[in-house]
Amino acid sequence: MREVAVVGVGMTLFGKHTETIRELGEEAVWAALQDAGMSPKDVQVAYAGNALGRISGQEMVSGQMVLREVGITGIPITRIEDACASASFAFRESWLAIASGLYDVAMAVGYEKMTGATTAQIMEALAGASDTELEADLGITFPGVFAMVARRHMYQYGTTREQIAYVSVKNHDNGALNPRSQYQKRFSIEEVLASRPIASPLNLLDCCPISDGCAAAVLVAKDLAPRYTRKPVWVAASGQASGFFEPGSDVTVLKPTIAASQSAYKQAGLGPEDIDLAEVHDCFTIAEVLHTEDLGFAPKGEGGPFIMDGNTAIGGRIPINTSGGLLSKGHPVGATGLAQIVEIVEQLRGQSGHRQVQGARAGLAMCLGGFMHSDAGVVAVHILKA
Amino acid sequence: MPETESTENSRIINEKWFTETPQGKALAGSRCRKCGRTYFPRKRVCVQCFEDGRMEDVALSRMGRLYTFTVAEAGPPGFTLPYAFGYVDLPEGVRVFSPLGGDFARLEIGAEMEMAIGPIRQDDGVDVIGYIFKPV
Repeated sequence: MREVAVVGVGMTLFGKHTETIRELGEEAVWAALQDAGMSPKDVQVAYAGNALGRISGQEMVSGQMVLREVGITGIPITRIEDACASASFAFRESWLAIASGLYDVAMAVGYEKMTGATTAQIMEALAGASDTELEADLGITFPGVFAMVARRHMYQYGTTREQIAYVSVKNHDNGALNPRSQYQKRFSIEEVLASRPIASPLNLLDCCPISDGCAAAVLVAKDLAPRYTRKPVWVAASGQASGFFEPGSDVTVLKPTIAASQSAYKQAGLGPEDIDLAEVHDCFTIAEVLHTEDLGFAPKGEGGPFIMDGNTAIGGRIPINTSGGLLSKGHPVGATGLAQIVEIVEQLRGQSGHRQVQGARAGLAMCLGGFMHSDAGVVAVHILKA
Repeated sequence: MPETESTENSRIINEKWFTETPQGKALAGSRCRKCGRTYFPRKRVCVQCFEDGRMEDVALSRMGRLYTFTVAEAGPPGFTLPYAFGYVDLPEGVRVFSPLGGDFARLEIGAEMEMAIGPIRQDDGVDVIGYIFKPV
């Protein structure tokens, strides 16, 4: 396998936009090309992440429609849907296309347009990331999925409601330092606990918002990297694992996260102790507690106190979701995986301003797509190095 | 029991999920005759021992234990708020996702639950009839 570098990244502000996915895509893809100083005609292959085409309207061939806006035409363009991890796999396929030797330059893009639909419509659409026959049609919702996880985590390990709420506090603190974050507002634990109940025991401020946005990254083979940047960021590892769906599985242990991260750590020749910062899929507060454990940053069951003690804050042992995460930065589903990559790349280049992790050399991005039968649908883990 | 049959104003969510027993409707599963693993709903290939064609139909237990649950204050169209759902572990080793009924205040992890049949949501004014587990 060949070494692959990220030489350009770009993203829109996350939040409520009047623009369509084409306009959002044009902005972010163009920004990634500008960042790399690259002509659209240099791009040889592209992968596009998008999950909720039924909301935006362009349910099919949206990759071609978005990339046409910047003159990326004629080349192989493939859309990828893996729920919230769609863009992570657009990134992974881009890496694989170059690492395998088939192509030298790839564009990974992810986009989503969610605002404009009602919250009930969004909940119904997102429930499609569960087992639609056996769960969604019977009323499952994603706040409900993670509420059920939270209840088990509290029951099995004594995790407190305050520890879970603190994830929201920390990530909104970080988001307040990120100009591209949907929310620039800090909250207290008390405010999280007093926010509107959504699915017991989780409240509104335990849930990520409904968002629009786009993120993109340009990847090239190692020998081309100096042509585009003086600060290449290397793809040290790409791990992917799907749900195991074993009978009676423990919903507080996401085996796909463990499998994907162990694969990634092995590829990179690194362990969790070598990671300087991580972006993880905090769709709900409790999710970050699970990922903190399953990625090996804290022992199983100790994620709650580990986070509450400040270990994952900026300046802590392993800063997590310096961007604000999904909770504060926002979660345009099909763009999220690449927005995580944008944050890690900028951190490793030292471009993150007030939320910069000093001396960061290795960053991890973890994204989860779908949840059904008390297991994650699919998980992506990428490790990037300066 | 008119509510267990599809009518003008109601429909069974999926007839294949149910089987008739002397005690009334039960969930219809499959048990592998080779390794004994049991599934809901019915299926053909055992994914534990990869045996094909040796499944037998079984009526699953109407009793189970609540693995975890939530009471939802927000949901998709068709559900009356608040509504509850969770995972119920049946003695056959099957975990079933299910709407939950009865007194929500009595829901707790490990609670003994019993299956009932009833409306779980509305679809264009038609009651969708499915299984519901309630605390005993």
